Order: sequence, then structure tokens, then C-alpha cells
Amino acid sequence: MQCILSALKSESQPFIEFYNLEKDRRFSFPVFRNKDLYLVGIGVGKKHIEKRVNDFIQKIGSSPIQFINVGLAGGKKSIHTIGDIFIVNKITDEASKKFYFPDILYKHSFQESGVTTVCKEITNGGADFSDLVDMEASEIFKVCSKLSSAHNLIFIKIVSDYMDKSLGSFDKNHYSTLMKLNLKEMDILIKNSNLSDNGNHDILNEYDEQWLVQTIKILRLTKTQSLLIEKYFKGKKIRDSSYIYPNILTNMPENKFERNQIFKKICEELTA
Amino acid sequence: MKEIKYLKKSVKNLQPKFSHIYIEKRAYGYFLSDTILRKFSKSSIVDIKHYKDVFNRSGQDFQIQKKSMNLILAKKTPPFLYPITDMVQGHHMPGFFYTTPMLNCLYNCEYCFLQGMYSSGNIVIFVNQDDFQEEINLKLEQNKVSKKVVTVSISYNTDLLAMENLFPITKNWIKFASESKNLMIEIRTKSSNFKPIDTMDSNQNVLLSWTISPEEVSKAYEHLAPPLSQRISAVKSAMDKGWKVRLCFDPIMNIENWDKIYSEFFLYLFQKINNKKLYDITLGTFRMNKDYFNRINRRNPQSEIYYSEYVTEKNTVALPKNMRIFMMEKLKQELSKYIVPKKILVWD
Repeated sequence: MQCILSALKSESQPFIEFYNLEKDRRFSFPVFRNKDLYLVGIGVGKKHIEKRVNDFIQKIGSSPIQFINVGLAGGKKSIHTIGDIFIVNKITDEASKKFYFPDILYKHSFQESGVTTVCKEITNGGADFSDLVDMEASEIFKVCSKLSSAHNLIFIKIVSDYMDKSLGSFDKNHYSTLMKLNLKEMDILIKNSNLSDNGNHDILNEYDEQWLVQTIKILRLTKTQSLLIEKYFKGKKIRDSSYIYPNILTNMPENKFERNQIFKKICEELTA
Repeated sequence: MKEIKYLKKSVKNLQPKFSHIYIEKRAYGYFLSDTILRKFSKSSIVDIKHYKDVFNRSGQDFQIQKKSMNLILAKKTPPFLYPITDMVQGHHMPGFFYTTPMLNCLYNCEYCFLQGMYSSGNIVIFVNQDDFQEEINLKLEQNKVSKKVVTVSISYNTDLLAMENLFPITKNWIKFASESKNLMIEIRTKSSNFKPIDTMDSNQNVLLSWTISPEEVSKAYEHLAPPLSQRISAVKSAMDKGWKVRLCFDPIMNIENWDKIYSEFFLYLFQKINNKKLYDITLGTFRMNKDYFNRINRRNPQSEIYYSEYVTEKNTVALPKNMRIFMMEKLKQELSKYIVPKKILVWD
């Protein structure tokens, strides 16, 4: 499952249209969906991120999940051009001075940059900052790294302004246009990094899990026996992925002795 | 023999190895840093404060990182020498240490403790190698009167020789050892990459230790490591050039027909190499520090090794004692056909 996180409506709208996302009315904040791809509106700044991401996960309840923060960032006139697009390789939280490092393991065609997350909008040209500046990345990393591995946190930033009010301000259309111009390239990265294509899989499939749960229940296995049978089952499945769960009748045993005998028999088959 | 499915499942669209180099600010300006940054000039460089900020992060996926490894260049601070662990044969010997010029390995052996020791699959290179050697000099100085030999395993948490073409560290250590007195450095490897040190004169202060396994074990568990034939070829080259060579049959894996497989392997091996020239042999069954084993287990490893039956003795996960003693006795007996028993060091 993939989840795009964006702050502004003008950032979200191009994705909603591009991916034909539909509003998910279970949520009190903007959530859009098409199959396994979601978009969650997190609002501007840090304040709503934790609650919205956690509410989203609680309702969706699926793992693993990949978070892709797509957003606009302030750049430096001396080094950036409006419309430049970057993958973030280092996030600095201005308030706490903490650093966060997303793992950039997926191939991409963008430049890379660090970003500093600030609490208040910067309008003086950003002389104090050496890289890009945004208002969400550090909080997103902090919250989402508890839910996903570091390589499944992807940050894409597009330079929208030079953090200098004296150079004038931009309207919503400007932001939407910047997003639209880069959509195709972002789509390639989003597709390339899709979890379902990248070898993430469980050892036991749905049927194996069902057999395991039922067997533990029917045989009334102890905690230790349950763990052992799961361990041996996984070992067997690694050795032989086509293996189907033990063909041993698991009727309710009449006593502990009988249970232990069946348990032993299953273990013997699984370790054979 | 089982198939390695999780590696065969291609992980698409990953970056090539070392696409990113994380470097501590204080690590700039060292010879190794300059060499590596020049060699990987196309990599993205990310400045960091301390290597642990990247290497020890929570939420890393060790296995996926191994498929797209990155580099971390750092400056090590003391200590530089650690007493050898009780997992190693001869650990009770006085003056036996290990040091860590590099953390992590190019290879990805399923039985390796590094995946439990480190939360990251990335490689850390400490660029201040001189500081490591300075500490060894101090230790040698302390032993000057007694002339006790100090043994230092320099490739215990890595495989330096495997990466010598990329990161020239082994040569530097051999040079250091050859200029020292009462020092023995042990270089553990699974590499077939003998060529980079082929031009150097062999030195009696250096012990080249090859971990070598039957083809069945190598194919099943030692991912990315060179095949048996290439390792044997490297061993032969080293012995022919007069280097001290140790063979490590370690870990011995409790696979089906292990006795037949290992016996045939020894027969094959000692037809290829001159057993009289061997320095010694180490032998030991699979074992691991309990905490490392449990950490690997929590990650739901795709290796059958972690779903077998073991016992925990003190802080070590190992095969049940009767089993491992039986295996060691059988294989020691087998090896005694080729090498005198006193040269066989066993972990039991």
C-alpha cells in the first residue's frame, strides 16, 4: 500500500486527478483512494500530522505501507530554480536540531537535497538555510518511521519560491502547475517503489496462517508449543515453498497426553 | 538442497551499490576518504554529524539495504582494540584481540552474526586507520619486555580482502604488520580476491584465514561469496607464495547428510591443496550470541537456519551439546587423515 501525504489542496489536486482518486468518506480530513493508493491531506505545518496519520492507519490497518510526502519547498535563489524537483536525503528539524535520514534505495531521476523543516514561514530570503525549507518533513519522518522502514519514507520536494516576500507572492494555480509539470516523473518513482513489486512477502500465506491458528486452538497448545510449531512450519515453508500444511487429523484431543502425541507428530513432519 | 527464494525474487528498481556516501565532517581530508570519494564520484554525498546517526537508526531494513548497500565514512574514537569473543577458537589465549577498521560485509551469509549485531546493512569505513595501528603499537610497547605476541583479528566484523579493490585497507595493514615485532594479524576472508596482495612479499606476521565450505553449503547460505573453486584457487596462490594460511571450516552446518558432504569436501579439498603447508584449521558448528540471534528472529528472517532446534548456553545459541560434540568428533577424526590433530582448533 502506498500513501501520498500532501499539505495543500493545490498540491493534492493534481494527484487526485492523475490517479483518479476518490474521496474516502470515512475520514473527517481529506483522504482519497484508488485501490492500494491513498492520498492523505495533512494540512500545513506539523500540528495535524501525527493525529491524521495515526487515524488513517487505525482505519486502514494494512501493513506494510509506504509513505510518499510530495510537497512544495522554499529554495535559495543562488542555487535553485523554481520548478526544480528533489528527493530529500537528509531532514533537519530546525526546532530540535535533530537529523533524519530517509533511505534512498529506489532508483530515481531527480536531484537530491537536504531539507530543513521550520515552524514558521520564512520570508526573508532564507539566508540562514543552506538547503530547501519546508514545514512538514521532519514531523512526517518522526511519525511515519514508527510505522514503516526508512526506505519506505520518500520525500519529494518541488521548489515553489525563494522564501522572499519582496519578490512577490504566488497563487494556487502556480503551485498546482508546478505539481502537474512534474507528475509523470513522480509517477515513475511511485510505481518503481511500489512495495508489492519489491519482494516483501510473508513466509506463511493466508491458508498457512489459518491452519496454524486453528491447530493451536483445536489442540489447545501451550504458548511454547504454539511458538515451536510456528517456527518449524516457517522453516519447512522456506525449505519447500510448495509445502501444504501437515495432513494430520487434528481432532480435539481428549487429554494432554493425546495432545502432546499429536503435537509431536506434527513437529516430526514439519522438521522432516 | 533448498533454493534461496528470497534472493531469487528480484528486488526491482533498487539503486546500485554505494549510490550514497554518508560522511562525518571530521572524516574529510583522510587518504581513505579522498580515495573513496574520488572512486565513487557519482554517488550522492550526505554530510552527517556522527556515523551512528545513520548506521544505528531505528527502522532500517537490513536485508533490503544489503541489496543496495551504501557507505558511511567515519572517524573512529577509542577503543580501537577489543578482547576476542568466546565465539572464536583460541579465545582464551592471552593477547588475542580484534579490531574494526570496517563494519559490515559485502557478502550476505545467512548464518552471519553481523545481521544481528548491526541494525544496518550499510558499510562503515573508519578512515583513521593510523589511530588503530597506533593503539596496537602501544600494546606492543607494553609487551616489549615479555616479548609476548599480540594477535589481532582485523577482519572479524567484515571481509577486508573482498573489498580491497574498492577500499585499499588490507595492504596497509599488511605493511604495518610487516614492520612490527611480536605482532600477528589475522585477516579473515571468504574472498577469492588474492590478486591485490599478490605483489606483496609474504609476511610471517600475517595469517590469512579463509572460511571455506562445501559447495552445497556455500550455494545455500553464503550469498554473494565466491564459489568454492575460486576460494581454493586463492588459498593455493597464497600458500604457494609462502603466506601463513588458516582454513576455517566454520560454521559447520547441520544439513542433511552433513557427515558425507563434509567428508567428501575434505577429500576434495586436500587433493587440491598441500596440507603440509597449512598453518592450522578451525572447526565449529553454527552458533551465535543469543541477543543477535533473537534480533534476527524478530525480523522474520527468510532463512531456515533460524527455525531449527537450538539450545541456549550462557549467552550463546548453539546446536544441542550432544549433537555438536558428535559432529565435531566425527569431523575432527575425518580431518586427522589430512592434518595433525594439534593443528585442529575446535569450538565446542
